[in-house]
Amino acid sequence: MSTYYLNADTGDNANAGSSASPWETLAYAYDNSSADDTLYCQTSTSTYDWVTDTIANRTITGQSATGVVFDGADTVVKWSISGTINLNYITFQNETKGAGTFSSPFSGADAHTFTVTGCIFEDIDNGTHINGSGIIYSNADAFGGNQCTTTFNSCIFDDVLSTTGKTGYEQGIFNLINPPAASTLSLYNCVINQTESTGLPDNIFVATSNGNEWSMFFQNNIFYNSTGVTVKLCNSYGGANPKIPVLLDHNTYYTNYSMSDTDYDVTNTNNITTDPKFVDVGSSDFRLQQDSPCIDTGTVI
Amino acid sequence: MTFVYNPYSGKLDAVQSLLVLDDRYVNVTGDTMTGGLTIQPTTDTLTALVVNDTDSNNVLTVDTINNIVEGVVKVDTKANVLALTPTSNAIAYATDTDRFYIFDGTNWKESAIQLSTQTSAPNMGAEQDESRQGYGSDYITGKRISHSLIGDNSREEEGAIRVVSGTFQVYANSVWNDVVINFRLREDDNGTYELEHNPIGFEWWYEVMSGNSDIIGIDGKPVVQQYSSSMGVYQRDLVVNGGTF
Repeated sequence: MSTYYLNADTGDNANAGSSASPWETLAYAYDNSSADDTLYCQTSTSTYDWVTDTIANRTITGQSATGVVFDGADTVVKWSISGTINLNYITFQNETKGAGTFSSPFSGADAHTFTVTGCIFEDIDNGTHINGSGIIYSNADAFGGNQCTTTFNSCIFDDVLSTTGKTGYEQGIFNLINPPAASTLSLYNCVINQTESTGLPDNIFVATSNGNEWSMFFQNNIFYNSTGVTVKLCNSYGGANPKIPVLLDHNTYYTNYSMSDTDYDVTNTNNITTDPKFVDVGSSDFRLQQDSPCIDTGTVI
Repeated sequence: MTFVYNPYSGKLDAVQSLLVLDDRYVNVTGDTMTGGLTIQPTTDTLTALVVNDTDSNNVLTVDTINNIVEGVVKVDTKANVLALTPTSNAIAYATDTDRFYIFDGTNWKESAIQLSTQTSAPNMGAEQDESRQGYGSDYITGKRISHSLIGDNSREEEGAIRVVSGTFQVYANSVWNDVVINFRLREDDNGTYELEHNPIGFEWWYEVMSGNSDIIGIDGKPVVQQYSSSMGVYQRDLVVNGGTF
């Protein structure tokens, strides 16, 4: 396993890819690295190009989430992920799918392990297609039948679907359609902020099952919706057989959230529905005020 | 030569064998005896019935003194046994493997049990269940267990082991004790080593002394600190509790 370095300001793809002589683009770094290598993105004033690519068996780590920004330049970006992918401390922004585009920025392939830690997602345009929307889209019908494990740790989803309008109830931030058996979707210690009513998605999670048993785990998250429009936490698209087990534990829902529909087998415990008291939601400062009810009220994961 | 009276001619006819008179008489290859055969020596002997090969090597002996049949089991090395192709069922014993081999008419089959040499001298002590193969009526000794599973165990006796609900337990000091697993020594980003623990039923690894998770949040702090976490992405500052500055 090797580590290669990138820098959007000083990098050059003709360099060696070392810390002192970093490459410039992720596409070049990916093509010139091997499975299980780490691509370390140094803090840069310029943004990194966020373009459509196939990403397999890599760890991509930013020096800091706010200092490493992948910008989609308001175009369609689709990463087809496979194998074991780790994304750490990166901001992903300005991805636009446009009307009718069947895509999500991260589409999981068969048997993937996709772990995202400390990342920020903002200005992700949901488009208007009924499927394949949101941050991640995984469809066993399209990608095969082996287990997929998708985990988000300590991530911020900040008005991710705010750019264009929605068209159908099917749209959610996370969309998993008939995942393979034993698959999991987990969110731990994340903030899902929704302050803009324009383009507000109807749902947070859209999922179905078609004979496969799989599960969702959400703990220590803060769901914040100040739009005045009710958002459904879980919804289904075409039914669920068997019902999808969902663990909603030690989360904050504030406010205007409705719970799941009948396609889910929900365990809903230890949750808070009062204001989490962020420092400044308007400027996306999601630190907790000293008297926040969320301090030390999470659980050990 | 045998002479038999012919009532029609009034003379004696010469015949070659008694076979024509008694079809139980067996003399040469191809003869078949009709009816049962009983061998009962007038005095018990070690050689009541002896079958040898053409080189006079003994193949079968019936001993009426000890009342045993000798030579029924073919004794040879495993290679030689397996090289044999009997015309019917047969049994053999290999001296180099100490196992029985049964020929079922088509293939040789090997017994799972390995035999050992026994002596007539009894063990000292009250128990006579010693086995040179390591298996007794209530023990196994001197063996290595591989590719096996440990299951449940209701015997609450010192030294008992079991796995219950994913927890490995040992019965000692009159109670079932959990055996803690899932420890690792990991080099952190600072190049120092940490002893970490992944408790059963939890997702993440935790540094044992601090209780901090190995998952570092967006703010650069462990998402779980001192086995406690806030909701959301930003954790409180670490608090030094106790001590004197």
